[in-house]
Amino acid sequence: MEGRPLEDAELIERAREGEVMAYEELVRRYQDVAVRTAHVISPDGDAEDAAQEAFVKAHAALGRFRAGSPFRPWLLRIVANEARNRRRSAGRRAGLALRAAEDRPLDDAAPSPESAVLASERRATLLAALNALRDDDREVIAARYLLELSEAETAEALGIPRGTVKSRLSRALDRLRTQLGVAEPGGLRV
Amino acid sequence: MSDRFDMAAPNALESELLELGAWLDIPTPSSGFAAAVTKAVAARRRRRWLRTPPRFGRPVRRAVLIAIALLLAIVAVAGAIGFGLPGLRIIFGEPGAPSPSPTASRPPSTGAPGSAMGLGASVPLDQLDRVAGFHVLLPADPDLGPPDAAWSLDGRVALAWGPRPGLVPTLEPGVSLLIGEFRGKLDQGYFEKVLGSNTRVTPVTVRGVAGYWIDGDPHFFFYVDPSGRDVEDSHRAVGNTLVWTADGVTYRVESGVGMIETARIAQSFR
Repeated sequence: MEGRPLEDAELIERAREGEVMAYEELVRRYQDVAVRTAHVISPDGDAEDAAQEAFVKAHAALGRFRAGSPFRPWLLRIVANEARNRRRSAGRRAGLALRAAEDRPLDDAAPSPESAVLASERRATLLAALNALRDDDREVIAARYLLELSEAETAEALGIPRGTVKSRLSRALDRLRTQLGVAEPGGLRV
Repeated sequence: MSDRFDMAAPNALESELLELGAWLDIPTPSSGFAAAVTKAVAARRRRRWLRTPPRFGRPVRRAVLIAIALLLAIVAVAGAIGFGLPGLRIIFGEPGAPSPSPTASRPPSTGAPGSAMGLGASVPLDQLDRVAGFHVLLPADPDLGPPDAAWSLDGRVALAWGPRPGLVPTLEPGVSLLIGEFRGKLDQGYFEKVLGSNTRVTPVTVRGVAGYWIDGDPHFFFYVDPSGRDVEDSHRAVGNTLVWTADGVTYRVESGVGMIETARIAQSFR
């Protein structure tokens, strides 16, 4: 799951012994997914700041990290908690947004301009529906599909039993489908 | 609207969501992200060191247990505030500071051990107490014998041993054991760790008082002298160091051997 579990374990052990550079290497390794996670949990907060604070807290909690278990979901749980705390204090959100179309150049196999517009509208509609979901639903969908975490990672990152991931995801998708019936295109940030 | 998502296909919505992830406007970490975390971690740890001692690493913990059984009572210090090394400040690998010369890079000095270290003027052993202004303690270990050279600079005394059985070379050619003794003012003490260092500090109790075992990368000593001035010691560490303060005098034992052996030497001080 981590690709480099042994290296992670070694870095963690060295970080626990006080080697700051070992921890910095871990940070570099997981900073992308940490910022991404913080953003999908709390889209209107400062994702970088939340992720950095989560890394600092994770370092302080390294003594409680169970040796041999994967680091990424353990870290993401701390990131998710930090982002949730900030979401609560941030108040109502505008939600996730799409990047501007020109940020993602079309390749040779690109659809016709007309199809591209339709696809863009479809994504905007889907995102609007996703943003309209309640936090629990949006988090589990975001973890599985936007962050592409495994079921086990999703369980640990969100702090829920693995079986709950399945049932919550199923219900969240149902509600998303319902939402899509009434959602209006939106969320496009250009 | 719902026909756009082809609800009849069980995985259509999931596929759309997976694709959506690539189109989201999501920030990426700035170039200084990891360094900022490291800085915050170090700042937090510095604050914590002022409140509680660092935890023992596993190998050190085992070594500590052995030491207790043997001779020393090297134990974890229970409370940070009562560390008992006030006035002593240790800077690790200060940025921009030159590294100590490794053993291989400089030929052994032809003079007495420590003569190339800027430790001051040579002092006959029987004059040590008079020059230092306090009773200079010496290890009573018969394997060591008396120091091969003694030096004094600004009230700081340094005792140097050349090669001895059971000792290994330090970073300073021709020196296998170096003991420093100087008066340090009892004041608010603290450690400071500069980022990027691989120096480890372990709180211990030596001869019944709080001290520190410092190993890893070389470090630099600053202490507060009796007049309250910050003073940098005249030499950088040449090996692993055991340091403690008793009766207003700070003792610093540097060697190439481990904590137990170094502590054994400290325990024999008379």
